[in-house]
Amino acid sequence: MSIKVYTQEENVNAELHSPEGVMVTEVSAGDDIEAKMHVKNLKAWFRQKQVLNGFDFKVATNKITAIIGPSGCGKSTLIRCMNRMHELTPGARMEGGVFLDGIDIYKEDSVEMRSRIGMVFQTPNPFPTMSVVDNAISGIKLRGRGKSDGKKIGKDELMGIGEEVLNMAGLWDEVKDDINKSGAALSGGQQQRLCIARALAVEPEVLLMDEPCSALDPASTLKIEELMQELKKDYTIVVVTHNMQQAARVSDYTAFLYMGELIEYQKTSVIFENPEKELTERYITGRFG
Amino acid sequence: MNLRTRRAKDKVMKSLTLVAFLVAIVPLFYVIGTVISKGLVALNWQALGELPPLGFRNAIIGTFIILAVTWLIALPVGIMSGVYIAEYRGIFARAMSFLADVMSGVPSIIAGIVSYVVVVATTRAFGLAGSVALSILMLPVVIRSTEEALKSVPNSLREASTALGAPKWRTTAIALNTAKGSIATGVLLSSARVMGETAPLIMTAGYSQWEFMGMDCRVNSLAYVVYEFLRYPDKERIALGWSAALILIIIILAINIGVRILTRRKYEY
Ligand SMILES: Nc1ncnc2c1ncn2[C@@H]1O[C@H](COP(=O)(O)OP(=O)(O)OP(=O)(O)O)[C@@H](O)[C@H]1O
Ligand SMILES: [Mg+2]
Repeated sequence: MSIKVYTQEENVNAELHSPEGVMVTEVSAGDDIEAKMHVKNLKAWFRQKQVLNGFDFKVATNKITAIIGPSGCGKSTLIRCMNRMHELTPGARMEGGVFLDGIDIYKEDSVEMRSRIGMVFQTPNPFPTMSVVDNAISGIKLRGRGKSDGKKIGKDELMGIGEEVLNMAGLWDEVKDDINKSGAALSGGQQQRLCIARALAVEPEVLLMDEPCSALDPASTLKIEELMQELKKDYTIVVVTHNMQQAARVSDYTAFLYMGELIEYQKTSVIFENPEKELTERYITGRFG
Repeated sequence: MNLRTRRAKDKVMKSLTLVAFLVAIVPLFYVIGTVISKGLVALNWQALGELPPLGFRNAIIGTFIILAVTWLIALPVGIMSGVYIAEYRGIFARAMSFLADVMSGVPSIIAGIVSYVVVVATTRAFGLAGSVALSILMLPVVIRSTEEALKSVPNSLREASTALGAPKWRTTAIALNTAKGSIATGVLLSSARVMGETAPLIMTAGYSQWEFMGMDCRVNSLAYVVYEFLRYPDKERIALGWSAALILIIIILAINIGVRILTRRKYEY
């Protein structure tokens, strides 16, 4: 698969001013990506401060896309725009479009869109008042247990789903003897896998993960990386990470974000072996700033 | 400054704080000691089981009934106001929060008079007026403790819920469920406080020597029995008044200890 690199003239966003001192050539991963999500000319602000400067970004179906970049460059803001969490922050604002299977998620019901685009946060955040299973199935209950045919999901079926998603997250064997204890009583790594299980239970199509392993030890990190490989068969995954090795290990595509600009977006192997931009190379080799 | 003088100063400071502490608890123990010694004199099954003037059964029952109706009024209004302030923010919410602060400064006798004017003068429901008066005192505490409890719920839990596709009200319910321990603490402590209030009841629930007959009649209460009996000329009534005071203090202490146990359990998980 070849990646088409837009030149400044061709690019629809060419009129965008670049941050001072940074040479920006807009780059977009190729049109031949089969896009599950398509971010178009996305700009985002916190009050007066612009943090995303307007770029296009496609997320490939059933692939893992990594987003890398220095702290504060807008990675979290980008993925929070992708499931309408950004708008919940007081003073936050955005422009541009985010499309899921071609539909503009900002023209649809936000609650519905968030359940189709799941999210796992940097710090594990299971509900402390709920047991492990209840955490796993909390999303279904929070959405009212309704099925598409208008029927309610029964209790046994719920438990079945709980076991299934805990299994998918590789957690069932570890917790099956005390699924009734509080979700907050698990280890950090187990809590994070519980959060993944919880996100899976609502059957999203896309899973956005914001530094899911940054609070975890190497063993738990490895488990989650294996889980991601497993999950990409059925889900489209976007993962923000500070860990270059992790991006190189797990992802198919990598986007390098710097000061609100998408500097380079390529196949992961290309980014790490033969990056187009000097900035990218300096960042991934650690010779930065 | 050498080591000796520093140690000496430490000792002096330590003794001073200890003395201050003793000065502070002497009145407390004196109050409790007096109530126990005087209250035990007439405390027997007759005092607990008979109607006035022989006992104060209706006051024990009445205290709890008045409190229950106070809860019916103050909890829904107070908790929902607290939810509004904490979860919806905005100018209106800030104004409400400020009003709750102002309200907590209302003297209890004023609460009683207002309730008299609004409830008794219009409907003659004395018992209900007592609960309304106590609600006025309890509301700001319930509002504030709900607000504080919700604000201490980490935002990450709300984000987790929202990201799962939960509507706003269910996310609020999750936050409320997480905060329920602290809210219960605030409710119980303020209940213990309003239970002992007499002034708001003078013009409202007042005194009754009969069985509880409904919130539209006078409803006896422990606090009021103390106020009433201690003004009687005969020794037996005065002794009974002290017994009522003892029972009241026991109930309030029990609530405070219960709150301690409840909040300790909170930290287990
Ligand atoms: N709630 C907020 N209010 C105001 N500014 C914010 C807020 N959240 C983020 N920002 C600003 O927006 C910019 C981008 O933040 P963002 O969280 O997207 O960065 P990030 O790339 O995820 O960083 P990190 O790697 O540290 O998580 C930063 O400059 C940050 O200061
Ligand atoms: Mg971030």
